[in-house]
Amino acid sequence: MQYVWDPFVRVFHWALVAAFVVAFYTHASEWDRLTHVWAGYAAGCLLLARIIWGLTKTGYACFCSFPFDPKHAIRHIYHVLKGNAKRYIGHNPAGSLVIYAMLATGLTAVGSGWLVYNEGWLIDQPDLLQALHKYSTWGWLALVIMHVVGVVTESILHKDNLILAMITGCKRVTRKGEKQARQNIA
Amino acid sequence: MKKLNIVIAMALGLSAISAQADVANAEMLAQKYATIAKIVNTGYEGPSAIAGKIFFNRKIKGAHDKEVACASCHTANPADEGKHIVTGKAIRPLSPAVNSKRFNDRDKVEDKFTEHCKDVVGTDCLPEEKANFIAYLLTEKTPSAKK
Repeated sequence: MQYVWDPFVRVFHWALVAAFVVAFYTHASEWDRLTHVWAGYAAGCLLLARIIWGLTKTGYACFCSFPFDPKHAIRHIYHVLKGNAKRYIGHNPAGSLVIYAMLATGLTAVGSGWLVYNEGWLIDQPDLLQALHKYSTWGWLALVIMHVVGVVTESILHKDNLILAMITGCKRVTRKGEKQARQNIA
Repeated sequence: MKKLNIVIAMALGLSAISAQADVANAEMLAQKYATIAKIVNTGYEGPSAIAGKIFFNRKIKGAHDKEVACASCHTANPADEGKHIVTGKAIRPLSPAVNSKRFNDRDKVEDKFTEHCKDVVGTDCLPEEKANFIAYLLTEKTPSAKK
């Protein structure tokens, strides 16, 4: 077993999932407007906290452990399809790209939602902001689906339960995995 | 002086045209909903501002326990600024004659009707109710005098 995700990262992850689900479920009704707004603000604070954590911490939580590298990400997808992808203990390069995209779209969704709710404040362009809020949130959902597909794919490929790893913080290191990890270093 | 008068007259004329255009969009939408309504209900005679006003002010106990009307948030005069009964936030006037951004974009109008009808009535409104609603809003052109 290898300890990968620290308690902050795990709590952040599932709290963000909860905030997203609540905000999504309450988005249409005016009766639920306050719940929707508070869920959105919670998601925004969580995102900002995670960014600060990623900039200040070391180890797998650090942004430096999963760089933004689209070229590397495409190469990784190619190797996954060919069946000879390297194993990464933290985020793989394709996963990293989705993580950064989710952070950016998430902040856009929360920021635009904030401005839509406080209509007339700062940027008085209701139509533009509403469109931005709508498309960024649906884009965020699309990225979440990509994230989940990636997690399930990697779980199957590496015979590991990555969802459980986000609860316990530990990833299973198989003999094959260890061998691959050594190959990664070599 | 004469020149200035002409300029002012032209500016007023232009603003009148643009205001007309905004209202024309709302009128077109009312007619569109009326056309659909007539297909379903052959007895429907076209947009009625009176029926729209009754609908706008009628308190309905829909999916929620509270009795609410359109007027609960938009006030009895839709040419006035409204106030959201849940969040307390200000809502810009609904009357197209006062707020040119209202009833301009057909898709948005239909989306908002669907959402707000679900909130108040509990289900989407009928096309004739939507036609009457817009017809009524077109008749409300002056904000109430400030107290």
